Amino acid sequence: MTQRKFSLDTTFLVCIAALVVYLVLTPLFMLLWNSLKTTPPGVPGPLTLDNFANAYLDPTLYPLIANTLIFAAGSTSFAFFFAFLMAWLVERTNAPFRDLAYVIAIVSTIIPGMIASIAWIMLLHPRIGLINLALIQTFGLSEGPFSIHSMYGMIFVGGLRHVPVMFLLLAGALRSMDPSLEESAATCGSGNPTTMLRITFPLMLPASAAAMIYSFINGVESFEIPALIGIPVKIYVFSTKIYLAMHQSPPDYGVSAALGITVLMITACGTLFYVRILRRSERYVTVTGKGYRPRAIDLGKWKYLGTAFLFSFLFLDVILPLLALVWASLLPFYQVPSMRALRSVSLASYATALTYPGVLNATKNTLILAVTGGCVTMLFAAVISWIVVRSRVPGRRVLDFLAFAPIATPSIVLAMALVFLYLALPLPIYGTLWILLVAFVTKYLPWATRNTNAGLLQIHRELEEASEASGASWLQTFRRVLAPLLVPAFAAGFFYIFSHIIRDVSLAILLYSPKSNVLAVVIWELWQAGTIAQVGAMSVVLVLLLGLFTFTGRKYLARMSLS
Amino acid sequence: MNNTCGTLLRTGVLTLLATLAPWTGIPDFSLANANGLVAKMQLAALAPSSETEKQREARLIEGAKSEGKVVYWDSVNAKEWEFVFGKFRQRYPFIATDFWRAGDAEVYQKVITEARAGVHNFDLAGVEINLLSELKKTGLMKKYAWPSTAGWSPAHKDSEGYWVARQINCVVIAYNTNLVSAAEAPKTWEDLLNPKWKGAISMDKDGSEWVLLLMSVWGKEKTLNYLTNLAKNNISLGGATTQRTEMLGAGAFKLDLRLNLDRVLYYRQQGAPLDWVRTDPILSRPSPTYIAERAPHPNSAILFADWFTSLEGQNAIHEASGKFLPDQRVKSKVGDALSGQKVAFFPVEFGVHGSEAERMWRDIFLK
Repeated sequence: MTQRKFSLDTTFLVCIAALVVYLVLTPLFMLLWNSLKTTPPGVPGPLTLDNFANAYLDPTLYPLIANTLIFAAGSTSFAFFFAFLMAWLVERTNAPFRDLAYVIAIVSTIIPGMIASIAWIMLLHPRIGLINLALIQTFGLSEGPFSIHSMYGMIFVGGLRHVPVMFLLLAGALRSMDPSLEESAATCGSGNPTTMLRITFPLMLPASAAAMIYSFINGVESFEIPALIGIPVKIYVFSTKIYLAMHQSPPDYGVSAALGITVLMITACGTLFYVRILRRSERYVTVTGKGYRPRAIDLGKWKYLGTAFLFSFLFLDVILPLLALVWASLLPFYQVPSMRALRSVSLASYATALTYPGVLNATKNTLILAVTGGCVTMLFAAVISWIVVRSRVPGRRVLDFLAFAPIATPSIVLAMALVFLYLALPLPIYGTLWILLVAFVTKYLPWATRNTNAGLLQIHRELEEASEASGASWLQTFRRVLAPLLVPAFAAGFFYIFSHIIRDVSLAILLYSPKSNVLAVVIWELWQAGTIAQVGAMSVVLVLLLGLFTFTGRKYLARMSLS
Repeated sequence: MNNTCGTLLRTGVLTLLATLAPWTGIPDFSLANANGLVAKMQLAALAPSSETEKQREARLIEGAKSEGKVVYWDSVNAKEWEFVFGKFRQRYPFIATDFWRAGDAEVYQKVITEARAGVHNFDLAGVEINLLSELKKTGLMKKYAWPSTAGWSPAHKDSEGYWVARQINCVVIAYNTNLVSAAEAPKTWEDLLNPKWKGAISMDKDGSEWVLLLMSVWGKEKTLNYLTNLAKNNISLGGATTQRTEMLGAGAFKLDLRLNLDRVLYYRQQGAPLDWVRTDPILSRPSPTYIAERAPHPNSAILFADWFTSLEGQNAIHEASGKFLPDQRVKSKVGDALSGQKVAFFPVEFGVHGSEAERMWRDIFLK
């Protein structure tokens, strides 16, 4: 009986490991294979390097690489500056209302990159941008001083999107850092800037580097921002070039795949750096067994400047874009503010947007995907984590690496690889919700496994041993002992994945079909072809929905951690 | 019982063939393909050669009742076509309408990709003129007589019956009257080459169809020279025509070189400060619609095709969108606006140069 249980459990675990290998490696294999042939996906052809030759000999490739790197590095630097300042204000100073930074981080993540880009186009368009118009009228300028449709515009919006995550990473690191070294520096006569430069910065190096590389990888794979802001002025990055090549007639699959492999190499290098830095970070450990309490630096009268900065950032990052969207949503057609425009204000666009053909189906699909994607990914991750953290199975480290590997795969490249895979395989999921589910599970596996790995490490093994000693099988132990204890980690991961699936465009844009359309793609399509008022209305509704889910999720998590 | 067994057996055989398809190397043996073939055979078998118009319609209705729906993919305005579908459902209440709106390139890409995967989900679809000849080669378009289009101009339907025009788009240069006076506005396409318009012109990011229109009027050499010079004015690439008409009205650009006249007239009527340039000639093109060769609902597809090309259907489309339609009995504001203007209808046989136009567009404007 025990033997049977053991073999059933082993079979189950082997299947899970095989599934990880399938989910992660087969799309990459198909990507590589399609980059080495010139025939369409699913059609056999001789292996050749023609696609790479076409891609690399094309003189537009080098500006493409430069644009991608400049955008990723620029938005990372921008985000780092603001995130570090916010983290420092919150964790090390006595600025009033400093906890506002956490509110900013949460509220800012609610606004998807696509919607933020649309809002910033309305604010910073060189001719009709509301900020530009205000500056023109106030200072009597001949034209708007800012242009969103530029590399600076892309970096600005991309940077703003990266601030919340980077802030949370840096604030966490600052909070757990022993402030005695900073206090010693202060005692020795160092001023605040010197202490910050010579003590805080170096101690924060691993956390800062990890946050920056993470942000850089996100910048390289970013799609919505470069597509909406960059394409109109022909500033292309890898993700937009791949999208255009896949949407041209006929689609250029081979060159798309070659570009995909190239960008994958860039993000893989970034990920390797990221992992190395995380591994070496123990050299910088300052949290010791000794009790400590950070001392708040008295900023004197400057503390109000710190508060003003936080309020200004909230206004710039959240309130202003939302106001622009609300303004656009209230007009019959887009107009700059005027008495005439004010007279035409109505809520008609909300009625039109909510009854727009396909919206109901897309909302249903989005919720199905977000719930099932969140649950399936977290359950899957929990089992993988058990194999990695608890078992002695040979190759478990490889499994952990494979589960983490999709973090290096840009969403649009993963989507393209899945198109190649399911056009060739006799598994009829292309054009259905299943292919989207597969994509989301693969994409969010790294985040999910980090959560469940950490959750499992906090549970002592003796609980499982007691269960096993009482005759429970592995599956019973997992279901009745581990799973209930993993609920907090599970819930945190679930809400993260849930809210990211709802806003996703870059995976869905290549994988959706008319029947499996999702809400974010509907907004994308509306921006391309619908009225701007409908886009504004739909965006406001999506942001409100995401806000509702985020706050409900956080409330639930807070209650759970208290209990 | 026999029927159930037969269906099960057929499904089993087709599933087996479909599953084996990738390994047998016969791309047509996918499940959907096979089902489509069976449906086609059913349609053909049920179509006696000497039936009257009424008998034909009754037969189609009977088939459509069992199919229950028609699936249409196109780049038309979804909200407007919701009204059109409503009218169709009033006529045929037993046929549900399933519509997907996406850009022309997305629709084309989806059609091709899904066919490659052996999936055939749509009954009718729209396509751009520059993609017609490529699409014809794939065998995905159904040849049909389109009986309601007998009085239409040959420029608005395919001589072989593969497609008909859903609407006629008149492509015009439009400008924001707050930013450009009528005197200052360009009068010809060549006027757009003036460096004073640098950075002030917007255009669709997928302009290959417009390039094909120019090629049909000017020939390849002149078009190439013109586009090369035009690109020096840093044309901004935007979304589809509705979005760009709104942005132009709001003042985002001074000019747009490729807007549909019906959109310009609509927004002008709403109060947007817009006007359009009466070029000589005014370029016009049909927006083709075709029936899928492997339509999953072949009877409903034919009923919809017959209905939207009928006077009743054309009136419904006009009521919803105000578009300029191929049935000249339907009067539209666009038709009135074009009165006295020279209009160049796109010569459909010129569509074979679609790939060339696509390359030219990509090389000059997307690099």
